[in-house]
This record gives sequence, C-alpha cells and structure tokens, in this order.
Amino acid sequence: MLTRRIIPCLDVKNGRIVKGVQFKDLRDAGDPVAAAKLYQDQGADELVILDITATVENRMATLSLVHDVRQVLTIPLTVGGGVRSLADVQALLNVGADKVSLNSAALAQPDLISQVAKAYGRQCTVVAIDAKDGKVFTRAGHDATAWDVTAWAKQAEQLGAGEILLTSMNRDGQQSGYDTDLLRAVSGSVAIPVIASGGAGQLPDFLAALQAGASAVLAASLFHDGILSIPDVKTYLSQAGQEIRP
Amino acid sequence: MSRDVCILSSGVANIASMAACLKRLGCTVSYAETAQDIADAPALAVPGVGTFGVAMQTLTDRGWTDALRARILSGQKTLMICLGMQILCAGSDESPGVAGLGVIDATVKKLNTQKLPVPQMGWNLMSPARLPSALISSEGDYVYFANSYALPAVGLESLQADDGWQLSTFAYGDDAAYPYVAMLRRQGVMACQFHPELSGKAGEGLIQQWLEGALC
Repeated sequence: MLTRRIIPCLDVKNGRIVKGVQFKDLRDAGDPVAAAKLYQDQGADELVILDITATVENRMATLSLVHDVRQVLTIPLTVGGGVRSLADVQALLNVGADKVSLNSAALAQPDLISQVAKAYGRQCTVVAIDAKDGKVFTRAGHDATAWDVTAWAKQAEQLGAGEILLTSMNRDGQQSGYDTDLLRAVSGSVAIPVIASGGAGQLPDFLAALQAGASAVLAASLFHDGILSIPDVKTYLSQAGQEIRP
Repeated sequence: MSRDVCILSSGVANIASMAACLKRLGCTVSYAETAQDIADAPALAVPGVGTFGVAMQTLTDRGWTDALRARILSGQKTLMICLGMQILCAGSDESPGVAGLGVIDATVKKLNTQKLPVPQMGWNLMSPARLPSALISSEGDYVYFANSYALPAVGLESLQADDGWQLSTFAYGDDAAYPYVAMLRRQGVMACQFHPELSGKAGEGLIQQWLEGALC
C-alpha cells in the first residue's frame, strides 16, 4: 500500500532558514542543507522549501540554496514561493526541485497551472492554497479572493494540478490541530492528493488529518522547535494503524 | 567498472535530481546529444517527465528511437525511469495511437481506482524486494512513485518465463489483486516505474547495483 507522507517544511529567506530550526545537534540552525539532511536521516518522506522573499536578488539566493540542498537530498523536493512563470518553474527544476508549488500567480493567471502541467507533467504541479474562513487568500495571505476553497481546489485539479498543498490560515502557528473540516471538504471534492498544512501541535493531530482524507501531513515549527520529531510522528501513526514508511 | 553515465535529456525532465544522485554515487555525468551518444554510452539514464506522446515525439524528432531500442534489446547498461519505463511498451492509454518502443508487448493503463488519489504520489512497497539485504532491513523496500499511469502486471508472466525479464510489482487501487509493474530488469537494463533517484538509500542501492552490473 501507498504510505502516508510526513513532510517537514523549511521557510527560507536570503538563502537562510527563518523560523529557526532549533536542533541541538545542528551547529548552524539557519543552514538549509544541514536541516534538510537531518530531516532526511530522520525519515522525512519529502521536503518542502518555501521561499518567503520575492525580490530578484533574493531569488538567486534561493536557486543556489535549492541546488545545494539537492546535492545531499535523496528524497523528493517541492519548492514554492514567488513562482510566477514557466521560466521560474524551469529555473527551479534546473537546480533540483522535483515539484513546484504555485499559489498567487495561479490565482492571478489560472492558465499557468495548465502550462506547467503540460510542460512538466501533473506530478510536478502542486497548487498551494491558503485558506481562511472557507475562502482562498492570495499574496501570502494578505488579500482575500472571491474563491471558495473547494471550488478553487476543483478548478486547480481540472487545470492540471497533481497535488494540493492546503494551508489553514486560521490554524497556522496555533498548534491547535489541523482544520479537519476543511481537509474533509477539499479531499472529498478532488481526486488528487491533498497535503495538510497549518496547525499541527500534538501527535493525534496528524492522525486526525489523515483520517479526514489528507494524503500527507506537513509541519514546520513543530519539527524545527523539536516539540515533536519525525520519528515520534511516524511511530505514533504506525501504531495507530496508518501505512507509514519505516 | 565505468562510472561514466550519460543522461538522455528530453529538454523538460527534471534531470538535476538524477544528476545529483549519480554524482553522489561517484559518477561522471554527461548528456546525450546525438544518436551515437545513445548507442555508445557505457551507461545511459533515461529520466522521463511529461506525457507518453510527447516523450516519443521528442525521441522521434531527434532520431534517437532506433538507437535507444537497439541498446535495450542488446542489454546494454540502461536505466529507464517512470515514463522512461512506460515507453518500453507498445503504447499507452495516455496517448492513444502513439507507438512506444515496443520492447514490451503491452499497453500502459491509467491507475484503476475510484477510492485512492491519482496521481499516486509517495512511497509504496515494491515486491519482491530487489534491494541489497542490508538496505531492506534498515529502510524496507519502499520506493517513491509519482504516476497516474502504469503497466498492469497481470498477463505479463511470459515476460519473466520466456523473455528473461525479472519483474517486481506494486499494488495501488481498489483491487489489491491487480498489481502493476514497479521494475523490470534484464541484463544491463533496469526500468523503474518509481523514481530510484528520489527513493533515499533504497533507490541509491538499486542504482548502485545497476552501475555495478550486479542485479540480484
């Protein structure tokens, strides 16, 4: 059986991790390469890197960072943040991304999803959705759109998305659990995999997200701060009867 | 043992992961530019991204189809990944009417499931395990898949019995008794539906076996 995926997420800026990774065994907590390697060794099933900068000069730092991470990373890598064009996608793939996550640009220009899927395949095309109170938000959660979350998810799927990275803005950083109602609604309305993001705080939260239909669970600060480790989550889920890669 | 590996780039595949993986294993990587490169490469890797039709069209446009088929038939060291494995077949439901390399006389089908997400995205078990035993004990024989189409294993018994292909399968879908081909190996050819270059230590172990010509 296909296993459910546990995905750590690195938020980067200027080629460094923000939202610090506080592992005591990492000499440089801001070094994405060291963090990627550590998560991989701990059994991460994939890695997501989100570039939270948008300027051109910082973009080059991100490409260099993705390249450096790729040299040590033996698992799949999704990169998102500020991807606006087919050229941006190609640039990320050239340095070692396996999948690219589209967000604001896809909302502004939905055809971008089709273009990426057609050129690189559905499996490469992730659409990230920032959801708040049932609506889709754009520009890193700054602006509300008219899109209902499930309607946009369906539209993204139809345009060629191979996966939805669904972040609950209501829950993000709260560590009060994933938004299982949102996950149930979205995963029930699309046939592509849905990655749960935003709100993980305790072990049962991961199980609840998977039971609500998520194919994968993503977390950032929970792992970075060492509150829970990937092996903790995997052991728990495995004992709870979920299919998990050892 | 040669450590020179030539990558056949279709122009759109994410070959950086493949190249990084080969470099970690100590290989020197080059890229195919001519049919002669494809014929002569001591080891050739064919990563596949995109659709069946586009991949075959690219090979045809560049005049590479015959050289690739010939090296697979003669058992030269060739690694075919994901769509790269699928184009070994006669055709695919993904691109009706497009002829594949025809090395395997079968048709690639859409994953048959109503309940599970498509594409299949993630780590699934390959059976029987083909990894060195040291790796099986540590990480299991889980490998990373990202595909909507696959080659059904049902009815392919003659591939193993008569044609000398060694077969491993994976299960995905509503019917566990309907497995798909995860990997095909014969002589120097290793064709994987999954991505060994993204499959952690297990995948690196498989590529290492392929490089050493020590397929077990």
